[in-house]
Amino acid sequence: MAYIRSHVLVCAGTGCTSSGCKAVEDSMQAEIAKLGLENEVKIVETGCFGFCKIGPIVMVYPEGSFYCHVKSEDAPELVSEHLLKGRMVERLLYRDVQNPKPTAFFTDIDFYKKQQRVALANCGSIDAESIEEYIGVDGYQALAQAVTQMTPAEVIHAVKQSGLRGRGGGGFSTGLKWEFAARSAGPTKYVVCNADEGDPGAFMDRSILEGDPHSIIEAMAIAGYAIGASQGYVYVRAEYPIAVNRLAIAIDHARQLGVLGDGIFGTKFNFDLSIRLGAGAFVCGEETALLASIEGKRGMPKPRPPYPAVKGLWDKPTLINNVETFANIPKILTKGPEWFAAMGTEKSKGTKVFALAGNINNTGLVEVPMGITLREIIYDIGGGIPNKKAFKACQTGGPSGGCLPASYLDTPVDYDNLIAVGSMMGSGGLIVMDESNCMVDVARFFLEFTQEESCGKCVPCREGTKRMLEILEGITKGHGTLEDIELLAELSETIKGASLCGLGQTAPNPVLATLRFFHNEFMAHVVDKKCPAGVCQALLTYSIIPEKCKGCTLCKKVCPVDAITGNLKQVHDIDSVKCIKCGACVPKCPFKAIIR
Amino acid sequence: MLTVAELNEIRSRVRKQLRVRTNGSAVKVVISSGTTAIAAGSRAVMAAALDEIAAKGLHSVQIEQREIDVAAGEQPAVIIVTQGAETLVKNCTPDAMRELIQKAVLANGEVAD
Repeated sequence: MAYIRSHVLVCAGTGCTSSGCKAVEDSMQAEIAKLGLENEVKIVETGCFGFCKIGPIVMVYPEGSFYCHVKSEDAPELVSEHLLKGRMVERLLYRDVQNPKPTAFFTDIDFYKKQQRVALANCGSIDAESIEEYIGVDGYQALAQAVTQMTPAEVIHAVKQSGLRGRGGGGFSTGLKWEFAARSAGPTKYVVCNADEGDPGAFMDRSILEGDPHSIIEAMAIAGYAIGASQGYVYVRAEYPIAVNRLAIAIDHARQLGVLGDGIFGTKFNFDLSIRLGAGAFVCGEETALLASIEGKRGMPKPRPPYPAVKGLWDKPTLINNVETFANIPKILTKGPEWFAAMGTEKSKGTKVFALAGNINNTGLVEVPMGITLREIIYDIGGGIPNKKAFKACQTGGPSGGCLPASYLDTPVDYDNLIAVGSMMGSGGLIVMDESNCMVDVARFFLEFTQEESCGKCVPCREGTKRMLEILEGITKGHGTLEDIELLAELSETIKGASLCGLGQTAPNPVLATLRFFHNEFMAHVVDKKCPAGVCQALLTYSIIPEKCKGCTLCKKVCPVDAITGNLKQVHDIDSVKCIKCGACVPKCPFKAIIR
Repeated sequence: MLTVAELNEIRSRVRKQLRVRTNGSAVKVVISSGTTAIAAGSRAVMAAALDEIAAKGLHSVQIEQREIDVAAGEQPAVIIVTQGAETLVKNCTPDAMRELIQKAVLANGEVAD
């Protein structure tokens, strides 16, 4: 077999796919063939490197050169200069926002320096569709160890010892959950992976399924062994076609090789997996609603107890864990629970994957040890706020979480600290906001989402969130009153306390957090009828500063409703009645004479 | 049905192939590959190196390319890196390349999995 001296890893996650990585790969393949290098160089489609802002990403080994923003037209130069002549193509290397000098290797990039990739370890380093490459990086060793050398109780003990807590947001002890399911009586049990990932902006689970699907298969088989289940389901939203495809390929390969099916590793343990597609309802991320969906029913939650570990899928004991939770399991067994427990904080062990989004320089996926501060994530890893704007808040926990202001930037991130300061870990979405964001509008945005996604089963959520949304919309349109602010707070507590499931119980969180930390913005909207951030259109008034206006007519020409009057070289004026507040005039004025 | 022994065999085989990505090689062979080097025959030296590694299954050897600073008349040049020590060889031929690899591997041995 020919020795391949160079491996070219092309990120084939959803982000880079949508920015053209397939064309890059095809072009490089063509150039490699043109230069007769096909027996020396191979291209590998790999999972997400995490630095989505700078994709498509191409990594060339053995040097480890990290190329970003690669286009298909770069292929001839990349192949000829780097793969044939051994010269790095500097113009495609990474350049930091603050430092224009090119950085050749990803280990030298600030974005990666404070990260610790455990759940994402194989994403970006192996062929996402090769079971052999997964095995080459110790894949299925944990399953072999579990079924041939450990008892189910020993497996559960190891998971408990690791301190792993549910990564979907609940933060419940994973080992304890496995123990409950194991203790439940009955010959039929199920293992379910929650890959619904409904939080807007979150894509941690998607990336793991796209880049390392075998880690989930292996972990679910281990879980099946531990609790006494022989069938598993991965419930994944249909909006993740690449993840679904990679998972299907992985399941097929696993069956062919025999790590799924009957008599795994020559033992009496049998386990198989199926995929179930969700239709994208946020409520189906709630475990009982998810199980109802698998059963073919409408995705609506049920009161608990009984918990799924006792009575779940088709009324059988069911273990249900999140993708990222499962992704940690193989390494906990192969490296030992003590290794995992050595990372993180006293009560939150290991690492956490966050999806960084919003007004931040380095958007993408990061994995950090628990205990790192929000400041480190946002500034050291995230590169801070673009255009030197001031940080205002960050939302953790998605629509279920809270916005934390600058005074909380030094909060060490873990489950309990975030709850203590009025937010929550959630599944890992971390949205950064700056001075241009209106926090009242942010609260409205998240509530609009949860109200839309409410299943309608219970009155507090169905009716309560609707009323809250109406109040918030009224405030952003200039109709709010002081009584509305009181009512928002009162409704929030009622909905939290009386809703049937986590969707309703946490829907008011963004409102409560913004009321607590950004009360002044609510007051400005309600009392002064002004939006300090200049976002709420109804509260904006555009006007021209006479002293600055030179009468150039540029703004007048661009106004779609002829709301601006004034002749050439005469001071212009905006008719506030006609003005539709589109803002088109502001960037047109070379004298910055238009204010809002 | 896969046995544990078969799983380990796959792991061992693929690990060797993945050494290109992990920088886990005992012997590194740097072959000059700039335009002058290619004109002087470095591609033939590269082919010999790749063939020797494939024929003998020497996955502990890693091939790299970069421009090596020697006079044009001394190309192709090769640097053998073992245990941190570098040996520069000028005017390397394909046969010389094979010998150099054999000697370096013999001196350093295959990296145990």
